[in-house]
Amino acid sequence: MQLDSQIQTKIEEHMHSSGFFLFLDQELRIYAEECVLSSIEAMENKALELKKHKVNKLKKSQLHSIPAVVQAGGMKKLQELAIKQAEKQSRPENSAFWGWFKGIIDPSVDISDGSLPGQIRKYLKRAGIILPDPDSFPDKNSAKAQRKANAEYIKPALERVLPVFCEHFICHYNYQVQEEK
Amino acid sequence: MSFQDVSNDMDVKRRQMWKDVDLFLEEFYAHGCEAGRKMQESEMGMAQVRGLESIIVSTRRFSEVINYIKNQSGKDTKSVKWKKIAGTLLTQLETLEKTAEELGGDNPVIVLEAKLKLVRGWGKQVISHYLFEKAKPQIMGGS
Repeated sequence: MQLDSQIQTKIEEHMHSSGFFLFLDQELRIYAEECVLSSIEAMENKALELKKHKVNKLKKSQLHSIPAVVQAGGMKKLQELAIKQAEKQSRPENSAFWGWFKGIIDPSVDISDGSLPGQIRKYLKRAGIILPDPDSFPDKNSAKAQRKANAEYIKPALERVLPVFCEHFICHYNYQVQEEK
Repeated sequence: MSFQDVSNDMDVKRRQMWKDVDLFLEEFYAHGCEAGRKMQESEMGMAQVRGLESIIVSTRRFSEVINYIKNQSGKDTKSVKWKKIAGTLLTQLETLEKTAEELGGDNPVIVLEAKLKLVRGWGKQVISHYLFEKAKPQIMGGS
């Protein structure tokens, strides 16, 4: 599917606006704080599933590699790290966390507003940049192509948002887990 | 509305915001001092306070200050001091953020500028009072 250059330009321009900086500073931080709570919930659910009475929280050291990976290879490398970590036969809380994290950053998810790409789409919509809805297409192939095109549209914004989201997430996780000790 | 009109309108809003920020900080002074006193009571070292100060002065993003405090509080070492004070500092920063939103309304430029102006003014209050509390025994003792 051919990408609409007008939409691309609008998104590019918007990434330099004050509205976008405010989104990075405030809305994204609040979202990251919610994400910390849902990551803890994912670990608790895993413990329940395994009928464990004690929920072990993810060790902070598990998060240490995230900023370096994001800086070196952006979303692609972070996804690779999340997949690799989720598949490792390690502690249950680790696999629960990385499995959850992989889902939250997945750029191919088009509907879920709970995901990071979903937050960007929500923000763009508010700024007047509405991406075509894949579900409005009658056939599956067109819908799939639109979903792919939407992922391409938000890719530059996602790359820009990712390091800031990770900063918010890691700092709040460090604070939250410390608080619960 | 012409470009000149927009620019003038922005200047008016900005000047009003500066005044409002100064007024707010005057009213908030006692809270800033309380945070400074608590920092001194938690025996926070000068290096840690200067670290916070340099983030406040140099940052272009308000949330960097919040994240710095959270990170310091969450660190395994030296965490006790930060842990004692983090709640107070974060609650006060939350108040500053809400104030900036009220002052800027739907204008993100003003909101962002108000946040930075507020956090820098607040930082001065907190750190000055910390330094004062630290020097108090010497001042009171006389020489």
